[in-house]
Amino acid sequence: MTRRSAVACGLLVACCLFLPRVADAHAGLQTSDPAPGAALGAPPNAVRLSFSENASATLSTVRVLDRDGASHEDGRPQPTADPRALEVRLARLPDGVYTVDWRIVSAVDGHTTAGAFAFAVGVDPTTVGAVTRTVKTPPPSAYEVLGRWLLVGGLVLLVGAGAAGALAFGDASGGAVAWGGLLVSAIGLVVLADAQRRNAGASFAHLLDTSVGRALLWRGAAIAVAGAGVVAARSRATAARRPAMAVAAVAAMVAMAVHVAAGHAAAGSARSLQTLSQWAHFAAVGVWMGGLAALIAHIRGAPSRDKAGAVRRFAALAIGGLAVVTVTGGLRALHELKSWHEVTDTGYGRAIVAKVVLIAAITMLAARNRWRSLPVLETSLEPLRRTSRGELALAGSALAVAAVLGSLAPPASARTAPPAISVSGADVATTVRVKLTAASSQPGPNRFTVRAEDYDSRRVVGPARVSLRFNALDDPDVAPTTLTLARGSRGNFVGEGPNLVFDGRWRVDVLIQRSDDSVTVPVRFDVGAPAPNPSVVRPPGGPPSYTVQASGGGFLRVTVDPERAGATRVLVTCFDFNPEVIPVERMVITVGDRVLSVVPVDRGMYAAAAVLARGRNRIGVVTRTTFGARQHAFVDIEVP
Amino acid sequence: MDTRERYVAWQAAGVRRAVCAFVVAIALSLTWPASAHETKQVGALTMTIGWGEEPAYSGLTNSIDVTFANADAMPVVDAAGALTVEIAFGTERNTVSLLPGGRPGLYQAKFVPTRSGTYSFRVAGKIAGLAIDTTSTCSSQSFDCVTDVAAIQFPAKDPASGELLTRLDREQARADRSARNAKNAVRIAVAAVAVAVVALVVAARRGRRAS
Repeated sequence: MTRRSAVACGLLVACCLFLPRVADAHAGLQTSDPAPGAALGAPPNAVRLSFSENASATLSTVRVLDRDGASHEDGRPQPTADPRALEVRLARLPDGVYTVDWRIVSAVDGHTTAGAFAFAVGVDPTTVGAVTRTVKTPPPSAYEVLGRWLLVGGLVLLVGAGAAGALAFGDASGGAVAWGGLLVSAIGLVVLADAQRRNAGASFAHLLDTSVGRALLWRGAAIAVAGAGVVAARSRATAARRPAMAVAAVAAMVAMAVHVAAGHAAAGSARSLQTLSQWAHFAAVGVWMGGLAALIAHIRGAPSRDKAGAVRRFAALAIGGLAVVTVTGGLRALHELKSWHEVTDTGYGRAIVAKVVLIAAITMLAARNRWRSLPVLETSLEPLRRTSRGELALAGSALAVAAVLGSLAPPASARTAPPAISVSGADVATTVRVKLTAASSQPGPNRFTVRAEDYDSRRVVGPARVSLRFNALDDPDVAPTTLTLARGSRGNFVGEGPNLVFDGRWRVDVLIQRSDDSVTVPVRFDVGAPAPNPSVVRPPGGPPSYTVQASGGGFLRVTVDPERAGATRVLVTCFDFNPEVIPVERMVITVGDRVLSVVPVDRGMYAAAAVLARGRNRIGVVTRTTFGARQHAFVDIEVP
Repeated sequence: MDTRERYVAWQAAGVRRAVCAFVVAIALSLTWPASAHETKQVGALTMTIGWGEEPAYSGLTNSIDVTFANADAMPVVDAAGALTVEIAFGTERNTVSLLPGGRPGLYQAKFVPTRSGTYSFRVAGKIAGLAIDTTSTCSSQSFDCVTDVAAIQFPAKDPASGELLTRLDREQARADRSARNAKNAVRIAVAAVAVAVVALVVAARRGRRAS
């Protein structure tokens, strides 16, 4: 083994070791209705799931199971107006806890993601379970990566042979490179189709009826046209060979375009630019590396003036190819990777680093050819051939890495939806900054994450023990609960619990205990739906009344008499649909953060003295009816 | 669905909600930390340990209450007993004596927990001829951990003196850092002005030479 091939092998092994072993989610679940862990008062008509990529409704399954494993969905998942969302209608659900078990096949790349979460209907939210959400993504299969590698490698050879034939730096009849490219791309397409069929767990007929299958058919058609061009170039007269090879090259580029359009470049934001960029990347690799393969096949034997001319024509083209590959590759990487963490910690990022290393090595060999091999072309072609073989070996490895990249979800598509609740605060002594996030803004089981940093240096606080103390501000009669968090990744502390039992305002005291000290950071947030639009009645000469539907059922009518800034009186009445007054056992009325002292006026009516400020005042009401139900509502009142 | 049917459906939903609320209340009462002491068997004796005042708040005087009872549930009184309790908070340790309290079988060690968080008590020594060495840690299954006193302050929530001192130290350090940065900025500015003057002189000389 020569020193150069040893270096190339070492580089390849290093890149393989650097490649990812775990998969990020492809069509990751972003949002759902009902939300994971939701405790609903009434049964939903449908479950709607929204993903990070378009999901194939035909190949995907969504099941809604009760505790006994019985299914409650009414038909298969249906597409919605949003191509990233699927909806499954439900039969009427009795009260109980349900598990949504979903398995999604991405319409973008045919990859599968599965997961589950639970929600409750008409029962205690604490019974939904602490673990509210799971997601499983199988790692990319070697079979699929092989299919992608062969397909793209074959197309690269076809483009290169076509360009060489059309631009006169290779065999005008295509030669072995064109036939090899045709054969390899056809095998690659068949392997990829079979791998995607296995991923989806469907028959070929079923698969071909989807967007994933149609993209396979279009690629097959383009390869068939390229094949016709190659055949024509071999059999027709000399004058027709170059146009035939040009047709083969264009058809191979069309196959590349379809391949790109059925990949992640066409799934995220700025689709047109990213698709064009990815296609130009592949096409440039075809002209550069496929062209080099065709050139090397063409300049076999002794040196000659014609061969030297062909090499110089290719060299001019290769510089353009290298420039396009570098620019478009950079554009794609910058689009998909948003932080250094995504470069180093994700499989996709590591694969891109491996590819950059290989491209850099190829570029060094290309530079060597330009500065050392080109000046001696007339006397010896051996240095050029030797270095070019190394370039082609590394290019094969780079295409293998590209095939792995095509099988992985970019971090951009694997990013989950931002947390529903995100609040920050600091302790009085300004030693620690705390950021608390919660996965759901609804009452019920939730996942909490705390990041604690030193106030000045912004370094993560640790080692520490972190716990949360939950105080329901609208329910002062409910005792606080505590949740201890465990250390998670990247200095965060995480924990799951059903502590946010009710909708309304909550204060969470984040306790951070270190070796000899502790600090408490209070943060506040709202849980539940945004402020409903009240129905306002302004009787002539009388005080206005605001009526809102309360969570927990019924209606609350809030009357401010008189409606003015300063001292006033707030009257709250509870009634049902009829409307009949609902007897209330206890009522808490708040204005902003102040809890008012309430006085019962009638069965379902309470009054409280209040002081309103000019502008917007939020009046919150929590009641306990005599039959134990909790009602909650708030109204925003503009005081002139 | 007419109004009557809607009303019946709503009333049925009300009953369901009532049942749901009841279950929630029961579940909450089971999951909330109990204001309780921890009871454990130490040899032939039953030991109970917890705070004198529960819930325990930082900055408020409290005590560690330990009681011993024999197999007949009678309090164990041992005036000659020598018991200590080691209070642990993180890596901090402090050992104090357990002294007989206000009723038979009760032993107390008064102290002020100055920080919120998790405390451990290690009771060691001899009582009624029995050597004991046992550790209890606050948790939802034993006795309360210490909560920030701000939770019960009204009408204003005043910072603790420790917090104010730490804040002063922090602000002092920030002020010192700002002063250092200002001094460095002045030095850099002076150096920049000097370089600019030299550059002007050189440019003027070259200009004169060129003309």
